[in-house]
Amino acid sequence: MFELRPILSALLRSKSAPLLIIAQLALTLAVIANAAFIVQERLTTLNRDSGVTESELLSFTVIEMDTQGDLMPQRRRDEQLLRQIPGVISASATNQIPLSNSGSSSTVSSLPDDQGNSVNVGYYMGNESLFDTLGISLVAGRAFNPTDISVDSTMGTRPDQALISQYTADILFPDESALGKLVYMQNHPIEVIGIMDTLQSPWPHRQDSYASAIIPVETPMFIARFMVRVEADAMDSVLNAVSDVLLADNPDRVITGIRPFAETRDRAYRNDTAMAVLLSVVIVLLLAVTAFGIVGLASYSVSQRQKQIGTRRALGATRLMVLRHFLIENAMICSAGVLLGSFGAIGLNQFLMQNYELSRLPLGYLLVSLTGLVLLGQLSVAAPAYRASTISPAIATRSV
Amino acid sequence: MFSYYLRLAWLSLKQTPVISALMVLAMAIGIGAAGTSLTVHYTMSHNPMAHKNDQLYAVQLKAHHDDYDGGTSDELDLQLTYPDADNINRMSTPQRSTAMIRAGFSIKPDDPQLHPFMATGRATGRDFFGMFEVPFLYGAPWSTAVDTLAEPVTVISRALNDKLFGGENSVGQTIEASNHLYTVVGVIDDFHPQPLFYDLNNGAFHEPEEMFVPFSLLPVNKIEAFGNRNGWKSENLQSYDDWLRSEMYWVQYWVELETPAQKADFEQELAGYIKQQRQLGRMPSDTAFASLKNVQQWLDYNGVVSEDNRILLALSFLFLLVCMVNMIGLLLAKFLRRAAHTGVRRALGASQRQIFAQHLVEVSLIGVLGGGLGSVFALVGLAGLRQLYPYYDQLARMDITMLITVLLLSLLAAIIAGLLPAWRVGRTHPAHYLKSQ
Repeated sequence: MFELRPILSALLRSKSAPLLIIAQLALTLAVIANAAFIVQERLTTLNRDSGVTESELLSFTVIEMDTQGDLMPQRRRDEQLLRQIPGVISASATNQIPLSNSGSSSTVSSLPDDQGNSVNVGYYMGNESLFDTLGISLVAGRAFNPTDISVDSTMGTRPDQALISQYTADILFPDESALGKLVYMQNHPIEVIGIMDTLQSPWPHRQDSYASAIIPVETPMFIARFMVRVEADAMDSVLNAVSDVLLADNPDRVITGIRPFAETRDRAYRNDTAMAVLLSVVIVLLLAVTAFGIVGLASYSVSQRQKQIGTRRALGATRLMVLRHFLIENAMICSAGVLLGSFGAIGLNQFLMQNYELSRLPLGYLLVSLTGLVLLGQLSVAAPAYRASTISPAIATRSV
Repeated sequence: MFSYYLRLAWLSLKQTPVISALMVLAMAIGIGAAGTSLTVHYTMSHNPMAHKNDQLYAVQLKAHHDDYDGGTSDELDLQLTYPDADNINRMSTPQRSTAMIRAGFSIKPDDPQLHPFMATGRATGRDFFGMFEVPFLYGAPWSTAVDTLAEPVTVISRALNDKLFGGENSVGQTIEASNHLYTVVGVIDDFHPQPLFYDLNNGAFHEPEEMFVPFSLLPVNKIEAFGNRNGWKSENLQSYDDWLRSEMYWVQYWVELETPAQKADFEQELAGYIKQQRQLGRMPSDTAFASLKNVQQWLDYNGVVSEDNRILLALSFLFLLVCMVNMIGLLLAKFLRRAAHTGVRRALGASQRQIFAQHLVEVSLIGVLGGGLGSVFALVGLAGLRQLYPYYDQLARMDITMLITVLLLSLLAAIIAGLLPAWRVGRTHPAHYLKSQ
C-alpha cells in the first residue's frame, strides 16, 4: 500500500541529501529537547509560591546614619507612622525580605550539639505584626503574642520560640509533628510554637529555599528592612508616600529600594526569565533553519527527479501517489533522523547533567520534540511534494 | 584568478536567488547566535589583571574546624577573620598587601534641602590603589602612615565627586558619611575593571565602590561590613569589638608578590603563622593551611562565568553546527544542479583543483555575507540581552576583536561546510554531462 520498498530503494540511490537531513534533524532534536526541558525547569522555578501575599506587599530598606545608637524607639515610631498611611493594612520592621538574596540564615538541628537532622534556615526577625504583614497561614500551633517579643540589642540572636515552615519541620522531624518540640540554633534550644504552611527564604536558588523560620526578636540594627501590606488599590500611593513620611520624622537616614513585591520577584528570577526567553528563541530559530533546509533539499530532489516522476505518471501513477511518495520518503528520513537524535538528546543531557545542575531529561520531552520534528518535516516537504505531483507525464517523453 | 572566481560566484548566487538567500540567512542566524553567546563569554571570562596575573594573590586561611565547609572547591572560606587579616598586615614578605571589607556609607550632603543618600564603600589599605592600578584624577592615595594611624581620610570615585562637588578638585574637602567626617585626599579617574575581580562575593559585574576609607579605621569608626559574614563557631558577639576579636570570616585579603621566590617566602611565613596560632589554641583543624590564588585562579574559583552562559555557549555552537549541515545540503543541491555548467568548464580545460577553488570562493562569499548579516544579528541579540539582564550593560558589547572573530568564524564555518560539495562538484566527469546536451 505505502510502497515502502521502492521508495527506500529510490532513496538509497542518492544518499548524501537524505544523510544530511538526518544529521540536521538529529542535531536539532538533541538541542531542542534539552533546551525545551531547561525552559520548562526555569518556568517551574520562577512560578513557585513564596507563601506571602505578594500582590499586597511592598518593601524597602532604611539605613540609619548613626550605626551604633539605640535605634529601637525610632523603629517602633516608624512602624506606627507607616500604619497611619491610608491604605496600609500592616507594617513591620524585619531583617530580610523574601527572595531578596540577602539576609540571615543559620543551621538549625533537631538535637543539641549539631546532632540529629539539620538544615540551613533563613530566619525572619520581627514583632508580632510580622506574621500578619507577610500574610502567611499556619498549619498548626499559634502565632506570636506581644508578650513573646524580646529585643535583641546585641548581635547574637537568642530566641526562645520560633515559627518554622512545614518544609523545615519535615526535614527536622520527618516522622512526627514538630509542634512543641525543641530545635537548636548554635546549640541554643528554641521551642517550635507554630508551623507555617509556606514561607520562602531570601534565597530562591538555594536547595533548601523553603527552609525558613520567624523568631520573635526585634533587632535595632542600623539597617532595617520594612515590609508593608497594603490594600491592592493603594499600592502606588503608599509607594510614593513612604519616603516622605519617614524622612519627615527623621531626615538623618537613607530610605532606599522602595518597591512592590512583584518587582522583588522579577529581580530574583531575572536570570531564569532571561534563560527561558533565550532558549525559546534558540528553539524557534533552530526549527526555522531546519524547516528551510528540508524545503531546500526536497525542492532539489524533486527537480532532479523530474523525469522519473514524469515516467511514473506516464505509467499510470496518480498525482496522489506522487505526493505520497515524497511524504513517505520524508517521513522515513525524518524517522531515521529523530531516532539518531534521541541518542544525541540523551547524550547531550548526560553531558549537561555531569557538568551543570540539570536533571534527567524526561522521556515525555523527547517524545513530544520527536513527534514535533517529524510533523515539521512533513509540513516542510508538503510544498515541494505538491509541486512534484503537478509534473506532467509528458515530461517523460521529452528530450533524451 | 581570484577576482574572476569572485565574479563567477556572484553571478552564481544571483542565478539562484532563493537558495542563496536561504544559505546566507541560515549562516547569519547561526553566526548571530554563536556570536552573541561568544561575546558574552569573552567578556565574562576576561581577566582585567592579566598583565599582573602572577603577582596578585587572594589569601585564604583555614581557621575553622573540619565540620565547616566554606562552600568552595577546597572548602575554604572566601574571606579571613579580622585577627588573621590584622596579623598578616604585619608580615614582612609582601611588597604590597591590603585587607579590606565591602562597606556602605550614608552620606549627608552639605545642602540641608537634600536627603542623605547611600554610597557604596570599601575600607582598604593604601596599597589597594597601587596593586590594582587605580588611576587618580585629583590627589593621591593616603600616606602609608594613615594605614597605621587611622586618620579619617577618603578617596572617592569620579561619580561621587561629580555628585558632591560638581566635578571640582575636592582634595581637602570633607564628607559627612555615616556620622563621621572624612577628608578627601584623592579622586579616582575612570576605573571599571570587569569582572570586579577583587571582591566577587556579591556579583562579579558591577561598578567599583564610590568611597574608599582606610581599613585601619575599622576599630575607630566601627565601620560595618556590607558584604558576607560567615561564622563556623558559636560565639556570643555583643559589640563591634567582639566582632573584631571573633572567628567570623568577613575580611578580604590581597597581596602582591613580585617573584616566585617571594611567593615561596610568603607561603613559608604563613605556614609559620598557622603553627604559631595553633600553639595559641586557635585553628583547631590538623589540616589548617593557607592558600594563595592568583587573579585567574580566583576568577575560576569564584565561578565568574555563569553556568547559564556555558550552557548557552554550548547550545549556540550546536546551533551553528546545524546551520552548517544545513548549508552543506543546500550547497550540494546547488552545485550539482549546475554540474552541466561545470562539465563544460572542465571540458574547456579547467582542472579539478581549479573547479574546487572556484567553488570554495563562492562558499567563502556566502560565509562573508552570512558573517556580515550574522554580526548584525549578534548586535541585535546583544541588545536583547541587555534588555533581559540589566547588569549586562558592560558585558554585552561587541568590540572590534569580537567583530573580527565573528567574521572569521563565519568564513571558517562556511569553508568547512563547502569542502564536501566543492570536492564533489570538482570530481564531475566532463563527458557525462557533455553527452546529454
